Parts: sequence; structure tokens; C-alpha cells
Amino acid sequence: MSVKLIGRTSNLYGKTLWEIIGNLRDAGIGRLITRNSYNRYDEPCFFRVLSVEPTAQIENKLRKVIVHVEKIFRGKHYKEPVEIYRVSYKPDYRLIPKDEEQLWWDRLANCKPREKVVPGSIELPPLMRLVLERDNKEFSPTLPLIIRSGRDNVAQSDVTKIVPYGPSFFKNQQSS
Amino acid sequence: MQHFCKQELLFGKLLCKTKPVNQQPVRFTRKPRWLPRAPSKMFRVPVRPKISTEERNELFQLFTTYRTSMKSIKKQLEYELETSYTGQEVLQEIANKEEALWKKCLEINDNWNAEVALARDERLAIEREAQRKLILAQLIEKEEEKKKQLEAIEEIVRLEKEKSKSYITVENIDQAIDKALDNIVNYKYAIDVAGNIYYNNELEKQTTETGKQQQQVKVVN
Repeated sequence: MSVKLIGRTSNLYGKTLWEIIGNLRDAGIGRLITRNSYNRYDEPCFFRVLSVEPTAQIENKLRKVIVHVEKIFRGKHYKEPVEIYRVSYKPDYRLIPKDEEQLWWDRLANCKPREKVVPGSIELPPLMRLVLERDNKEFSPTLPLIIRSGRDNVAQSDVTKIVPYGPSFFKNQQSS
Repeated sequence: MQHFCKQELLFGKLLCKTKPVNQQPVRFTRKPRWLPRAPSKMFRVPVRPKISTEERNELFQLFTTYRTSMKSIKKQLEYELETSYTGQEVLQEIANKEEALWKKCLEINDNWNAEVALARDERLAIEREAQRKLILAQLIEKEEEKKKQLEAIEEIVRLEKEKSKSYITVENIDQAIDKALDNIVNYKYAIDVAGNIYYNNELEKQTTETGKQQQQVKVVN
């Protein structure tokens, strides 16, 4: 009997975390798990389970579970373990079989770190320049660009480089 | 369109047009959020947009560029705004303005003080004059009072001096004793309704003085 899916489609396919963890011996501690939505990245992204806690004491959500994992995201090994609780209900997880585990670690070892160099400043937007010239103010002809420096942001700004104001000044600099 | 509807309603009310022609409200024809889905759209599944990878990357680039540029422009404008409040020149200008204002205030205060001092001097002079007059009047009054008192005392002294001529002194005590012994007056008597005087329960004819006394008593009765 073939299954006919009706209704809205979803980006997620796979199992919830508890569906995977609950069927494994020793709650799957030490096993590797990945998310299907991370397939969009070329670099390996996966979790290594460290500990599992039930959530019955917190709230009555059968699909949720608290899991502490080592996280590897886009080839970068996080220093601190990460807790997966709020997104554990998503049917997006996939267990990596034991014979493929070494393959993933090798991918991680062979993965070259992401690099991205962006220009440090742009020229003044035309209207802004006109306004400043009209007001006879002293102004520098360039604007410094502020690059995000979060945990997952790898972009480095090249201070010496100045690009004209336009819609695609990052385009040629991307290397990832 | 909405404006048009309002106008229509307004004129409809004014002209007693109960049914305006061709009126089609636009704003309030939509389904409110809290109502369920329309029955005709109950089982409709919206088609998801299919975006190719290239287009997605292009959009990502464009958005990233836009966000970063806007962020730096915003920062620049914020910096300009901040310097317009806290820049060195602006602060200096504010300080100069405050200094000028302070000087002006001081000048006004000095002028006012001078005015008030002039008025105060005038007032004090008038008050001093009034006080002087008052004190003078009081002095005169006191002097007169003193004079009166002295006169009264003089009068008392004069009367007493006159009286002192009949005083019994060491020199004339013998004469006074003699005089007293010569004129013994007996006040131990009784009086009846008719004014007769009785000494020792006996009616006695009195001297001329006694007669006068009797007459007085009679008048009293």
C-alpha cells in the first residue's frame, strides 16, 4: 500500500531525535547524528551524543528530549558542548551508521577551513556624498564596513581594499 | 477608493440618499484574521515557490550586501548625530553661550541691586526722619510730665509746710497738753429720736456747740 501524502509539504524529512535515541542501546551515547537540513553545506556537519536526559519532569511533550552533543558545524568543531532541546522535536535527524562514522571523521579532518575576505570599506553612496557636499562638510570619501563576527561568521575584512558602492561588491571576493 | 466611499456616505447622509450607487467598500471586505478559512478554500494547498540555487545565492548576496552597506551608513549617521551633540566644537559653543548668558544674568542682577539700593536709601531716610520726630515729641512730652510731677510735689510740700505750723513739737508740747486738758470733749453719749443728747442716762443741756450738734442731728433725722 503506497502512502499518499496530502496537505502542505515540508523541508524536513527524517526522524525526531527521540525516535533515534530511544531505539539505541545506552541511549545512543557516543553515536553520530546529523541533520538533513545541513546537507546544503559542503563541509561536514554532525553531532556526537554525550548525554541524554528525559523531559517528563519539565513538560509533557513526547517528541522532545534533552541531548548534550559535541557539535561540528561546517567543518568547525565547537569547543563547548551544545544542548539540543527546543529543536529536538523536528523530524530532521538522521543516524549515521557505525561503519560510516570513520568516513565522517575523515571528511572533517580533510575539510579545509572556510575563508572569506571582504573589502574593508566602500565609497560613499552618491546621495550621501551630494548631501555632504551641499552642506560643505568635511567628510572622508569612504565608509568602513562592519562585518558580523559571530560564532559561525568567518568573514575577514581586508582594510586596504575599497570598492565602489554597488549591489555586488561581495560577489567576487567569496571563496567558500 | 476608501476616500471616495467616505465622501459617498457623507453626501448620502446629507442628501438623504439611502442607497448610494456603485458603492464598493475596499478596506473592510477582507476576512478578519480570527475567522476560519473560507469553505471554498478549505482544502486548497498553496504551491510552494521553487527557487533555483543560483537565484537563491544571488538573492543571498544581494541581501548581504544591502544589510552590510545599510549598517555602515547607519553607523556613520549615528556617529554624525552623536558628534553634533558631543563634539568638541559643539561643546565649546554651548559653553560660550552659557558664559554669555551668565554674564547677562549678572548684569541684570547688578542693575537690579543698584535700583533696589537707591529705593532703600530713600525709604531709610524717610524712616529716620520720622523716627527722629517721634523721639523728639516723646522727649518733650516726658519733660512736660516731669514738670507737672515736680509742680505736684511742690504743692504737697507747700501744704505740708503750712500744716507744719500747727504741729506739736518739743517746744510747744506743754502748751498743747494744757490746751487739751482745758478743753476735754466727752463723746460718750446717746441720742434719741428727737436729737437730744444723753450723758449717763440723763438729759443734759449742752453748750452752744452741743446745740449746734443737736441741730445737725435733727436735720439728719
